Amino acid sequence: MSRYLNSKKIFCCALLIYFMAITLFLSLFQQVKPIQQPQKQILTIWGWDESIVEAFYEYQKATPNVEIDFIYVNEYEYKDRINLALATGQPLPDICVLSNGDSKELLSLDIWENLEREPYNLNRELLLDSSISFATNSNDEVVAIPYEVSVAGIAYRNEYAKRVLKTDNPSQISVMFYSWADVLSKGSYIKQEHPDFYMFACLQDVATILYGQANACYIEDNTLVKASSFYNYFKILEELKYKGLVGDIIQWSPEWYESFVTEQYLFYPVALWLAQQGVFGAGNGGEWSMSVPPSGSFNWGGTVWAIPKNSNQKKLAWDFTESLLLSQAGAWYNKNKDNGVLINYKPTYQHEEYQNMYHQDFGEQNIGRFYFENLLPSIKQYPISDYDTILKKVFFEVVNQMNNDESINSEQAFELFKQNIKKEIPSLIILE
Amino acid sequence: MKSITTKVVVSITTFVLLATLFSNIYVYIFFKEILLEENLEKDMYVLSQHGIQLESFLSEVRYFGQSIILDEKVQQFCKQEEEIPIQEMTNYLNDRINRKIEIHSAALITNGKSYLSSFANDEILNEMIKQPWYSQMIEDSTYSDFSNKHVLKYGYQQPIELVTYRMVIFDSDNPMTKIGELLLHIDLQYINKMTQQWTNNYSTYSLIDNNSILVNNVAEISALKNNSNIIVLNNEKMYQKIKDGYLLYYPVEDSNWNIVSFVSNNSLSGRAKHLLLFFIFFIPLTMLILMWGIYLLIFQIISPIKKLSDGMISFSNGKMDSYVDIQTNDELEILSNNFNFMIDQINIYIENLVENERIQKKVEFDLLISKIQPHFMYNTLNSVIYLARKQDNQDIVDMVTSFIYILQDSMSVHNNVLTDSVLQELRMIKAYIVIQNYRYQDRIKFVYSGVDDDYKIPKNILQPMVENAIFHGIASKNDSGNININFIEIQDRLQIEIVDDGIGMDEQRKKLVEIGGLVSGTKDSVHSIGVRNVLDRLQHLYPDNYQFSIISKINEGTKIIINIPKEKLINE
Repeated sequence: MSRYLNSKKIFCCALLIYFMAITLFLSLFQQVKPIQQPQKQILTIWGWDESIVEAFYEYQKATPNVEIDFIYVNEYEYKDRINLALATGQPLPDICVLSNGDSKELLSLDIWENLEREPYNLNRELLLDSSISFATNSNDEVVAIPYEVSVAGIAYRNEYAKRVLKTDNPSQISVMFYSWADVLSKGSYIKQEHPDFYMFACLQDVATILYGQANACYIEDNTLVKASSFYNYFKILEELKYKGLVGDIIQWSPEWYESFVTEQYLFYPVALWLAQQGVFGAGNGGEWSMSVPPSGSFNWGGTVWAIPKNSNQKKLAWDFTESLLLSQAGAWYNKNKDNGVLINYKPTYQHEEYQNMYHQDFGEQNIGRFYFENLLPSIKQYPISDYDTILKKVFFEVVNQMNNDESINSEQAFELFKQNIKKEIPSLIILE
Repeated sequence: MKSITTKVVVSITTFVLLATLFSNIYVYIFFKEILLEENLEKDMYVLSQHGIQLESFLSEVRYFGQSIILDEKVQQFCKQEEEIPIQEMTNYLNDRINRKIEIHSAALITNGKSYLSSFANDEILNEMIKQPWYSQMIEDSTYSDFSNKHVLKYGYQQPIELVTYRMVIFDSDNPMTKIGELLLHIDLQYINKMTQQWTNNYSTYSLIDNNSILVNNVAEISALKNNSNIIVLNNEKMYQKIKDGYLLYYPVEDSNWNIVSFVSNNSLSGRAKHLLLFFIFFIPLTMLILMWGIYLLIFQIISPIKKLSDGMISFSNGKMDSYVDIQTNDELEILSNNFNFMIDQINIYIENLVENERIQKKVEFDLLISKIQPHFMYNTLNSVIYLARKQDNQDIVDMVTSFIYILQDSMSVHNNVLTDSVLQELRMIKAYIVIQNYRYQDRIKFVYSGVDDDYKIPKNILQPMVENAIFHGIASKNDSGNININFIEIQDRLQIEIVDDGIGMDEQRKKLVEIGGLVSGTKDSVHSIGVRNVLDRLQHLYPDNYQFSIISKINEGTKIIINIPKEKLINE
C-alpha cells in the first residue's frame, strides 16, 4: 500500500512537471523574442554610387554593430533633395556625397562639419593639392573629403589610332596633339585622308575637356573674370564643328555610349570613374589607351563626402570616411576593387607599388603610373566659386545648342552664353 | 500467466494510446491545414499591401503624365499654337523627368515626330518607337496603357529593361481632338528594387503582364506556364499550389500586371513547424503520462483482486488464516467477505472432521480395550456349562450360556461392527436379562414389541439403556419391574422406546443423562459404554439425524426415546 501511495505521489509530481513542460514549450514558441542584440549604429548615406555599400561591408568586418542605410539619390536631384530637406526640416544623412560640380555651392552652406577642427583635426596636407578646392567652403575651410581623383585625360582606340595616326603610343600622341591648335591643324589633315574620321564624338566631350582645363578661377568676387576664355572655347568648338572633326551626338546619350562600340570617333575624355562604368569594355579587352589631352589634363567628375552638423552619427561617419578615404588600407581597397579608383590620400602615392594600376580595357598600359606621372602633374588647380555650378550649366546649354543648331557660330554662342549667365546670375559682372 | 492488471492496463492503454494518437494526428492535420490557410491569408494580405504600393506608384506615374499632358506649354507645343523651340521643350521635359528616377526618359510624339526628354536627336532612343511593343500598343487603341517589356541596349552598358506608359494627349480646349502622345519609359530596375525590398525570408516576388515576366525573382513562376509557354492564372482563387509551395498573385489595378509571390512549403511549414514539434513532443509525453495514470488507476481497482488471488493461493497452500482485508465498498469487498466466511466454514468443517475422527478412534479404542481373549473364555465357560450339566445345575447352564452369548456379541463389536440387527440386539438383551434376573431374583420382566421387519440399529445402544433401567430404575425399587422395548416405525424413522417402571429421575438428573453427563457405566456394566458413548455413536452414525430424549417421573418410571433413520437390514 505504501508502495502504491509513493507511486501516486511520484505520478502527481510527474503530472505537474508535464503541465509545466507543456506550458513552457508553448510559451517558447509564442513569438520568441530574440536575445537582445546590442543596439546597432546605423549610418545613413545618400548617393548614387552603390559601391559605397560594398565598401561599408568591408568596414563592417572590423567594426561590428554598425549598419548602413544607403538611400539612392540621383546625382541630378541631389541638390534639390538637400534643399528640400533643409526647407522642410527633415534630417540630412550622416554622409552627403556631393559631386565636385555641385560641391562648392552646397559646401558654402553653413551646414557642414569643419573637418580641420576638433574632433576631426584633418591635416589638409594629406590630400592631393588638385582635390582641395573641391573640398573647401567659401572660407577655405575643409568641410569635405574628396573621394576619387577627378583628374582626367583622353582615351583612344589603339587600332583606330594606328590606322589614322600611324601610331598608338600615348606619348607620341600627346606630343602630336600638344595643344588645341595642333588638334585643329592636324585634324584637318587627317580628315582629308580619312573622310570618315572624327576626332571627338560630340561638342560636349570637347567642352568637358576645355572647361576643366581652366588654370584660374572663373568667377571671383561676383565677377566673371576672363570671360574671353569662354569665347576661346566656343571658337575651338566652332572650328571643330566646321572642320568636321566632331560628331553631332549628345554626350551621355545612348548613341554616345553606342559609339564606343563602333570605330567612329578617336578621342574620348576619360576618368577612372568612367572606365569603372565599363564603357571601354570592348571584345577581348586592351583595345584602348590613355593619353594627355591637348593642353593638359583637366578636372572631370569626382565626389566629396561631407558630414552635416545635425548628424547623430558624426563619429561613425568620420570613422568610415577616414577608413575609406584617408588611410593606406582605404587607398589600397579602392585601387584593388573591381573597377578600382585612385583616391586623394597623398601619403599613399609615396609607395611606388601604389602607382601601378592596370585596367583590363587598357591592356598593358600602367594607367596608375600614367596618372601619377602624366596627368596629375599637368592638372591646373584653381579655386572654385559658388557660381561654378550655374556657370557650367549655362556653358553646356549653349554648347548643346551649338550641337543641335549648326547655324550658331562662336560669336553667337558667346553672346548667348553671356545673356544666359546674366539671366541666371543677374548680379554677375562680366569682364571680357 | 499474465496478471489481470497487466491485461487490463495493456488493453486499456493500447486503446487510449491509439485513440490519442489518431486524434492527435487528425488534430495536427486539421490545425496544420488551418494554420496553412491562415498563413496563406496573411501572405495574401502582405501581397495585397505590396500591390497597393505598386498601384500607388503607377498612380503617381499616371498623375505625373497627366500633369505633363495638361501642361500649357506641352499643349501649345503639340498644337503648334506657339513656336516653342524644340530644345526648350526638350529641356522642359528633361527637367520634369530628371526628378523621377524611376522614369528613364520620355518621348512626346506629335505632328508625326518624336521629341525626346533628353538627347533630342538620339537615334537609338528614336528607334525605340519603331519596335514591336509600340505598334502593339497602338493596335490595342486604348487611351492609356502599359507596354510589354522592351530592352534598351547601347554601347557596353548593361541593357536597360523598360516598360512604357503611353498616354494620348487631347486638346484641353477640345477634348475630343487628339494632338499627341506622351510615352513615359519606366525603368524596370526601379520596380525590381521595389520587389526586392518586399522579399523576406518567406516570400519572393515577381511582376508579370499578359505576355511576359517583367521582373523575375521567383524561379518557380514557370509552373504557371501552359504548354504554349504562356502564363495562366487561376483568377478564382488567387493562389495556386505547386510542387514546392504556393504561388500567390495580386492583379494590379488599372493595368494588366500581376504580382506573383512564391511561398515555399518549407517557410509555411517552417512557421507551423512549432506545431509539429509541439505534437512530436506532446504526443509521447502525453502517452507516457496516460499510461502511467491508467496503470495507477487500474492497479487501484484491481489490486483487491490480486489480494484475493494471493489469499486463495496462500489458503490452498495450507495457510488456514489467509484472510483477505478488502474495503472497496463494491463487489470485491463482498467477494472478500464471502472468501473469509468460506475460510471460516472450511476451518469449522475441518475441526468437526478432526473431532469425528477423534471420536471414532476413541470409540474404536474403547471397544478395543474391552476385548478379551475369546478362545480361553469360550473354553472356560464351556467347561463350566459341562460341569453344571454334569451336576444337573440348569441355572448355571442358563447363566453361562447367556454369558457366552453376550461375549460372542462383544466379539463382533471388537471386530469393528458398529451396527447390528434389532433381533440380534434383542437376543443379546434377553441373555443379559437372564443373567440379571439371577442376580435380582427374577424381578425384571422384559418385553418388546413392534418388530415386524428386521432393522439395522447401532450396536450396543439398547443394552446400556436396559442396564441403566435396571440399575438406576428397578434395582432401587423394592419390587419387581418391567422393561419394555418398543419399536415404532414412523415413516422413514424408527423410534425405539425403552420404558421402565423404575423409580424414575428428577428433572435435573434427567437433563444430565440426556447429554451424557453421567459417568459412563458402573463397575457392573457389561461394557464401559454409558449414555455419553451411546450419544457419540449415534452422532457418529447419524450426524445430527437422531433424537435422544428421556421422559421420567419420580416413582413412575423412565422412558428413553431414541429416534433414528429406519434402515432395513439387507441379507448379505
